[in-house]
Amino acid sequence: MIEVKGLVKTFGAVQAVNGVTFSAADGEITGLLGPNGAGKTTTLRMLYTLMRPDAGSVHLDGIDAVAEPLAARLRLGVLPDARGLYKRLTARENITYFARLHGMAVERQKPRIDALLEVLGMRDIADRRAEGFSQGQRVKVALARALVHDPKNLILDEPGNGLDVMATRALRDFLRVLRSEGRCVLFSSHIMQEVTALCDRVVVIAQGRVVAIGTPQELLERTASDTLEDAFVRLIGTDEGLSA
Amino acid sequence: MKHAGFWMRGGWMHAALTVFFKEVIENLRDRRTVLNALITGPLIGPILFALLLGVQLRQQIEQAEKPLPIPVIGVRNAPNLIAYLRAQGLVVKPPPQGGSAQVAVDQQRASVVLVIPKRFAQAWAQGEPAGVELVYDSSRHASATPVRRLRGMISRYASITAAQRMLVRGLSPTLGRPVVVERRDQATAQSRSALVFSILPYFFVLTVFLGGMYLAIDTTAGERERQSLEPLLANPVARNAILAGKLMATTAFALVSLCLSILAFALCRHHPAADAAIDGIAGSLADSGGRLC
Repeated sequence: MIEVKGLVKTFGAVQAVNGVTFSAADGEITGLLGPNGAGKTTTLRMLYTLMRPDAGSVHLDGIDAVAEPLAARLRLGVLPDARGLYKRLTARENITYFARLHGMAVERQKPRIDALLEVLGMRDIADRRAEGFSQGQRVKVALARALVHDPKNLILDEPGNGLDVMATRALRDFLRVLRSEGRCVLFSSHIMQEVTALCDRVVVIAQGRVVAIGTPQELLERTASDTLEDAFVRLIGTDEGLSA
Repeated sequence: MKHAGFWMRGGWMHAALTVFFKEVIENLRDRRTVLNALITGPLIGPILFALLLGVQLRQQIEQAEKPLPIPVIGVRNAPNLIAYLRAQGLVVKPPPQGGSAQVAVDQQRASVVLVIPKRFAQAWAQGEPAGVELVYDSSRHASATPVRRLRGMISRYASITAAQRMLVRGLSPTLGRPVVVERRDQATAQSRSALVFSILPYFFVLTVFLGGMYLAIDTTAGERERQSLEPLLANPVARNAILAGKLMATTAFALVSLCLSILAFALCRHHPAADAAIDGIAGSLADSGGRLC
């Protein structure tokens, strides 16, 4: 359960995030939808405590993430925009490193990592060095290390970036599995199909503000659009659209 | 911080050690780091040192009593002086072509030319100071040793002659030397090698730097370049614990590099040629110190 209230972040004269409020429930996939530069990544960075918000609050399962960032991070799996691996370590070693940093008991690490390798279909690359991994393989390793401590909440920043069709389908299936396990999944995207195909709820964000929240169906009805793409354009498209 | 109980109970150290071991393993797999920290770094000191010893040894051999070939203008003006110089190892070479000592030195055909003017014999006979000229270019390295040796020979000849002249006049030769300096060098072999090895700390600083540098860069700026910093900071670990782990790994590589370097120097020191070379260097260091005073 992720609850965000009145989040504000300014970089110099740029108001990146300007009063974002929403919540993402357990057992649901919430999509953060917005054009490039809308403030998605900045918002997510404040959620996973990489940045301190100038104002507003973030609560993860009731824990104040601003006041207790370490406790919040224990309940959080993160796939950031930057998802570099350690190329001289194998896939398994990359994941194990994060398991240790999470303070997982040694005897719990191996079964958990084996299970993740199985679910993500990466047994064949488990003991290969990450040097030369394909984009899809890298995302899988990054996902596995984000999930290794079995977090209740999951934040993914543009997870579909750079993936081919097969890898995208596999990722979607995997996110549905996570939802069915009762986790709270929050991901950002600017790709309409991804959002339509996956999300239970959509938070549309533009110019650092939330412009609409609802199920995909609700958004269609509200904007009298046939496709989510039209709805999206109406919601964020022009200044008139915003002020109306 | 009730939720972060684990991290209050030694979790900080656990995290720092996790980072430490990961960085060590990762960098041991990097050929460039291993080469720099464990081979180039430790060996650069001994190799530079050996080169320095070699240069010193060569200079020592040059200064030893080996024939000193020097062009002389006006050999006939001072036959006695020339005879003495020949006995001391001077090999008289014919005057430079064109007859100008200055041109020969400028054109680097000779490192030093001895010029004995015509009035030498006359001044000598009248007991006046008889001048000879050494033409050389002190900005050229090759001229230093022959000039020093030639000056030494000539001044020895002068003092012998002075003593003989005083004896002829019935005076004690010691009258001409009112004050005598005697040098008593207390240096032992150990103190001489201590002088030489006093430059070792600089080599060690260099080694430590070379050994730790690549890790220091790779674990900080490299983490950002590889885009792995953001996921790393999303872990429930204090940032200073991560930094401490990286610092420990860098320090470990630097220390291993230092130990290997010390070992390499110790092996160098026990090479049979080292003692002679060290004595040579210490001798010339002491000489230059003496001249400065």
